[in-house]
Amino acid sequence: MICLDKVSYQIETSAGAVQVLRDIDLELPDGSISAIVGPNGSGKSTLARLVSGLLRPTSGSVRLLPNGDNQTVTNVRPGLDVGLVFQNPDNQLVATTVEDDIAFGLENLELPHAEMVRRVGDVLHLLGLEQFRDYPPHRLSGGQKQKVAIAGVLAMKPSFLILDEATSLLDPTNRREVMQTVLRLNSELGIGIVIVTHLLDEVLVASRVGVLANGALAAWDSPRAVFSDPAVVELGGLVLPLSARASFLMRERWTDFPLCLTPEEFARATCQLN
Amino acid sequence: MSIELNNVDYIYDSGEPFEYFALRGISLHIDDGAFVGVVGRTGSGKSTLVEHLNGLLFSTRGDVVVDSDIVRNERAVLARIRRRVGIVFQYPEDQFFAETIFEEVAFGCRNYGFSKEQVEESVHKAMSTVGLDPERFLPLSPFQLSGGEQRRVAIASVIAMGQKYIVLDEPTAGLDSGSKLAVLTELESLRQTANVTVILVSHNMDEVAEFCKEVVVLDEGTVTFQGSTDAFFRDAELVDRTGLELPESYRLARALKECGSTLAVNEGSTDRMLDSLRLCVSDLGGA
Repeated sequence: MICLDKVSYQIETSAGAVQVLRDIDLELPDGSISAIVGPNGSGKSTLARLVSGLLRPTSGSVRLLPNGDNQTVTNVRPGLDVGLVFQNPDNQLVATTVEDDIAFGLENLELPHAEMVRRVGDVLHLLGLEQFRDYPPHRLSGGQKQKVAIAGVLAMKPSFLILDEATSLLDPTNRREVMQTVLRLNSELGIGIVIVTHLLDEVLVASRVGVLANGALAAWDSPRAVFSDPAVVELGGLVLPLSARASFLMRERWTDFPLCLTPEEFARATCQLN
Repeated sequence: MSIELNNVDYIYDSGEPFEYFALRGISLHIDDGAFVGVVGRTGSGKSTLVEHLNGLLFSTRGDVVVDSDIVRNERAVLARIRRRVGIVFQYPEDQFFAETIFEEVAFGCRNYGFSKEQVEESVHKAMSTVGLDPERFLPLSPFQLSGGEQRRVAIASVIAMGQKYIVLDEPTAGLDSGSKLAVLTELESLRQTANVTVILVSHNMDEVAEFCKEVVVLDEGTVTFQGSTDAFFRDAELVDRTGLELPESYRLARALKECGSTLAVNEGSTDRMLDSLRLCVSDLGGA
């Protein structure tokens, strides 16, 4: 479990100190899927970097607790415990072949050669990228590049994967492909997932959603609870899905009409009325 | 006045062994004051197409006509065309260079010889259009903003030049839902009040359904559909074949039909759908 305790982060600018995040308390259980939403500038990416250990909090702590064990507490080791995948794959691919790119992080760990080869082979297989092993990454599609970026992170064997708007530059087909891959990593390997996103369908796969507004956590709840609260929706820079707005409209006549978040849910609920 | 493409081909590495048709036989007509969506999967030629509209690329064959100018590699022609067609690229914030947001947004206006007062006015107006308070943001450095705020500054820097045609390549990728809606709503009001033509390249079908009256669908460098956005999304099979998704209102109408609901809702924009649902609900209530 990753445990954030009263995490604050501030940066110094020419105009003085700016508080980016303040007093964030979060618990991310192993193997869970969480989403982080919030308006542009609310501190989502900063939070992602704090959770992954790339940034250190100004005050408070980010710690790693083995599940069911409150004794062994360690700090998150950057790049090892929590892998971070960014928005633009072109900014995170460094090598001339897919294989070398994936091996880059491992080389920095000074792992034995055989172990590196084994791990690279494993993640290529896991993500279905074997046929691209010797490919130059820049020749791949956006979705494939993003999978290579994920592969490079996975090779480090993290227990959590954070996607910082990792699909927002992809077309729908590529986006689905990347999301399916991520969900599979969660269900098959038990890797915990944190999705920083503006996209509704990515919020809906999470069991818990953190809503950031002005550097503070405005809500930490299920997607349904978040969308039930108009104040939180507004604070989080979210827009209610059409199906939810339609549900509220139905409630004007059927007061116990459920809050539906997808068209399919809405259709089912409607048909149960008839 | 309009933008017209007549049988345009664009071939990368033409004549070389690896020549590649990025665009093939594209014919298009975009009317003044239209709000047109350009959609299609990655690699379908969307960005190549829009780069033809202000002479960043020149067609291998066929003509691109902006108003009455044929786009060609001549200084005077290009100057005229670029004065009329502005493009907001993908990741526009990668091109920031100025020390303050004011300087960033004013840069294009100054290049076009705006007076000091005109620059001031255009910059302030453009910032308000993208929903950033000019007083607060103009003195800041563009590099200290969040990603979404940077995107809006980049859009403002093009809008400020006051061109007739504004082309935006994925302008809302990475914006929060509220800002997305705000930016597009402002573009729509710019279209209505200043008769600006908006050409929107997007992967987000909900925003295309909401804002674009017409849509151009590209697949492997050819136009597979051009016409009313509604007609396109009603053809679910074509939408799927071109690698796209149905917008939520069309999915909703379809899901209701499939489960045999008596509620018949209108697809299209959010308001259109909700209005029709409201009518259905009150009819049912009266029965």
